[in-house]
Amino acid sequence: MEIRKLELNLSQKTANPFKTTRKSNTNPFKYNDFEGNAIDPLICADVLVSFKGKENKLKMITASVMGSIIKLRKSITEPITNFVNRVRTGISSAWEYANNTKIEIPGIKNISENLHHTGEKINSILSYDVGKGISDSLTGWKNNITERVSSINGEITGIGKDLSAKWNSLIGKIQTSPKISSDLSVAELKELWLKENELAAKAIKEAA
Amino acid sequence: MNKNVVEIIDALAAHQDHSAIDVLEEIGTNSPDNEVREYTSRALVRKNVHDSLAVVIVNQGKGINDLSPAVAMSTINEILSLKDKSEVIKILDDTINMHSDDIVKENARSVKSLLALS
Repeated sequence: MEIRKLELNLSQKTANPFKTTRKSNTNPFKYNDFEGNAIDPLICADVLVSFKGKENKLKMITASVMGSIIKLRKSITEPITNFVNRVRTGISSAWEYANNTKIEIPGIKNISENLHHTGEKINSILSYDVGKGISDSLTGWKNNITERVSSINGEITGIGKDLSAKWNSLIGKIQTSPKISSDLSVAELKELWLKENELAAKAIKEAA
Repeated sequence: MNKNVVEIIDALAAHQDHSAIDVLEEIGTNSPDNEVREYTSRALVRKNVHDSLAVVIVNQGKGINDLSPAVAMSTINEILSLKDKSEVIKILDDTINMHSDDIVKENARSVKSLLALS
């Protein structure tokens, strides 16, 4: 009821009833006194009317506020610019102090050092173990390949030797075997017969 | 049978040296191969001399006395096919009359009978 009544009265009496008070609120230190900026009793008369029961109390509050402001004005002996400069200087000196001060926290420092050492260890482990593992693997592959190649070489050499021996024996037979006839001596014929029997026996053994 | 062995046997059979018969007896008639024994026995018969015919008639287990019927029959056929059978008959008679082994005697007697019938 009281708020609705206040709105109606404000719209009727003035277009901007807080014009003067707004100016005073932007910078409370602009003016040294509140002359001409006091609330017009006529403007807020209807408001105060609604607080008739509390008029004495409101007056007491207003007086105390005014007294506090006056007291504040008296207490401000230093210019505001000096105060701002002092605060700014303090902030800058604090910033410089903070910049120039080494903050050493043992735990964090140790953690950092430990992390640094751990990183170095990991790097060394990676560079040693992984590298060693790759090297070992490559060495193992190389050894296996070498063994296989050597075994294949051995087999090929064996096959080649066998082929060479057989080929030489065939060539030897062609070159050394004389034409079998009665012109040969009995001893030669006997020797040839014995050789043929040996070859036949070898062929039987190989077939078996 | 190996071609080289056939040629060697033929060469030894055609050889005039008497030691060729010994080689044929030593290697050919003692061969484990039936074909070699058969061919050697026929070669010795074709030679148609006393020593070669004696090898295939008198010796036990060789020629007509071979344990292989194929070798024995082939040797007998080769004896029957000889044009001059005088030396064979002489050796067969000596064997029938003087050989100690009865089986060899019986075989010689059978071959002589075949010669008489042929």
